[in-house]
Amino acid sequence: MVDIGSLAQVLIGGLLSGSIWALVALGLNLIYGVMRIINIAHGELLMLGGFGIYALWTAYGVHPVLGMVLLIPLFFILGLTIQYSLIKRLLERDFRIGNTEMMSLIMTFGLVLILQNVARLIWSTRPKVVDAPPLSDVLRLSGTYITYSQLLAICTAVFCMVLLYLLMTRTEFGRAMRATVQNKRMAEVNGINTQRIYLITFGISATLASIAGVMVSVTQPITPFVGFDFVIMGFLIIVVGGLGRFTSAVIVAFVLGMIGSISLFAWGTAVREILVLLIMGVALYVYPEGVLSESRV
Amino acid sequence: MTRKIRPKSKDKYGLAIGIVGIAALLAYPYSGLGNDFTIGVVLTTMAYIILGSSWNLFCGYSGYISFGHVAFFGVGAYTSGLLMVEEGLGFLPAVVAGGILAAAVALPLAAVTIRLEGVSFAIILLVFAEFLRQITRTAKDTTGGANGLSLPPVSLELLYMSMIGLLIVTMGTTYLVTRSKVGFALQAIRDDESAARSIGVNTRWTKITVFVLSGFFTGLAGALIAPYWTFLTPSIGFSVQTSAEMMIMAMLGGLGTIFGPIIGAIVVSPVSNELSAQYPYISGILFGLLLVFIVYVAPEGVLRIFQERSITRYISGRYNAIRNGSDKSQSEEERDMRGD
Repeated sequence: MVDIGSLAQVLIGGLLSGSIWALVALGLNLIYGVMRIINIAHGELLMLGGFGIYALWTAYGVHPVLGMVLLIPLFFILGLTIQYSLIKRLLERDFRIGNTEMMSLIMTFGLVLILQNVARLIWSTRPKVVDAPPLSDVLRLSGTYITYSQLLAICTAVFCMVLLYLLMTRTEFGRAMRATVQNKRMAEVNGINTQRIYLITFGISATLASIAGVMVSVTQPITPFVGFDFVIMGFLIIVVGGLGRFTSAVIVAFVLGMIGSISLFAWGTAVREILVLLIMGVALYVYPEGVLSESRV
Repeated sequence: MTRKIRPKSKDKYGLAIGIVGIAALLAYPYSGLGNDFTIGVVLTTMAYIILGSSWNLFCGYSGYISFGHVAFFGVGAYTSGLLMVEEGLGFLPAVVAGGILAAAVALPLAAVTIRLEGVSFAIILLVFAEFLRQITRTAKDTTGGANGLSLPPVSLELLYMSMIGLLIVTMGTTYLVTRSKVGFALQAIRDDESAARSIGVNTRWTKITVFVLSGFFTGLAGALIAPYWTFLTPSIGFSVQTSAEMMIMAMLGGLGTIFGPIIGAIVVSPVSNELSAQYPYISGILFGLLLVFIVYVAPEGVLRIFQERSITRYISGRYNAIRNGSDKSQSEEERDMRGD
């Protein structure tokens, strides 16, 4: 039989993947929900967050935790900038062929190519490790262990999700955001400045991406491709969970995280990919609108 | 008598150009104008034309943008490669098998994604292609994984002639499909899917059929060009940049046209090959910029030039598009102003 140690390891692995994926999926859903834009470049923002921490740590000795705090306003502003310069123009455009969603997909795809290759130029494709002393230490619990970085990652992710939930349900801004999600015109009629909502939402999404990036960089080696890998899972999660459905995304993220962890433990990596693919196929065929269709925003 | 194929009046020009083009391609290697290197460039360009056209066959006419078409390319390339290496199968049968397997992969994929709306469809195809890449990478024992698969050499002459053959078949099929009932059904889906369904168009069957066809040709192209590169890795066979290139070719030339992808391929292919070999990162950045450029400046492609009355009007129309966010051409704006 499997011992409690390995079981705990599987659980921790699943929680870790699940929480990072949930954060990524939430960032994607925020933008889709509010603006109906798909931001494939979200993964690259994650990657930049991770490399930002790496750069801060290796060049200036800034500890990842402090680095994360420093990066938050930076990425918020970056998000605002991207929204203002690129996304806004996309939204105002009246496309003859195709629609705005598709064009956002294509444009952000282009952005991915640009950002990923710039990162490859700067940092090369060799994996980079962020090895900061308190974080790489290990906490021993009965029969198992967890590294402080993993613990930090899971706790930060959960903390961010709770924060986001509170923001969306308990603040005026959150109400305005939800109003925009439900019906943009009506929100405007009620005096909500949707332009401001868009800007801030993108900023929040970028910040979430950078936080996820920090979490990734402290728990595994990173390469310029890591963002793309995570955004792919993020997309899988939001499509299966239902585009724009927040709680659904979080649930699907953790479920997939656990499934991935279990199948990795039991059968190895190739099987894990195939299993996830199969599950995705079945889920999409049965629920093209997304599983858990009763979920609220 | 209702005809199965309804050509448009401009088709005769296209056919003429096509015949001249094929003749030129056939004569080229024997004309003494080229060497092995330039023939290889032409070969790769032909492969790109096929890739762009088969992508356009489904995506340009149906309006469903596929971000993961490289999946079929990789399936075709790996299948034929493995058959040649492991089973010693001959080149042509292996290529055909590659195409068939790609189509076989396309079929269930289409069936599963058929009910997805445009955005989800695009994303899921991207996810699928990435997953295929991962699976190919981790199943090292079969596919050689990241260390790659070495393909047996095939004579340039055989490659070149087969590529011309595939080009003719692909363009011919594209022409026949787009001018047939299926093609019109597809375009009806692009214009308004629920309206199409309500007038009796079998959207499911149409989408699945054309998607499988598109995957088939993409797989054949992959199977044909891989031996020229003699080496296959998951990153090459399932590279996301190849999907991007297919999209760029079709969009640059003009979605939903027959010649669009051809023009797109002629522009993209040499750039892609030469640049990627020397500076792979720069080529990636360039294509990314190109995609962004296409979205903002010319989402309908370069062939739009023929709709405007002059090139300056086309350029000012594009400028208008960026400034004012309106995709109307000058002529349309004028008509709107006049109140026609």
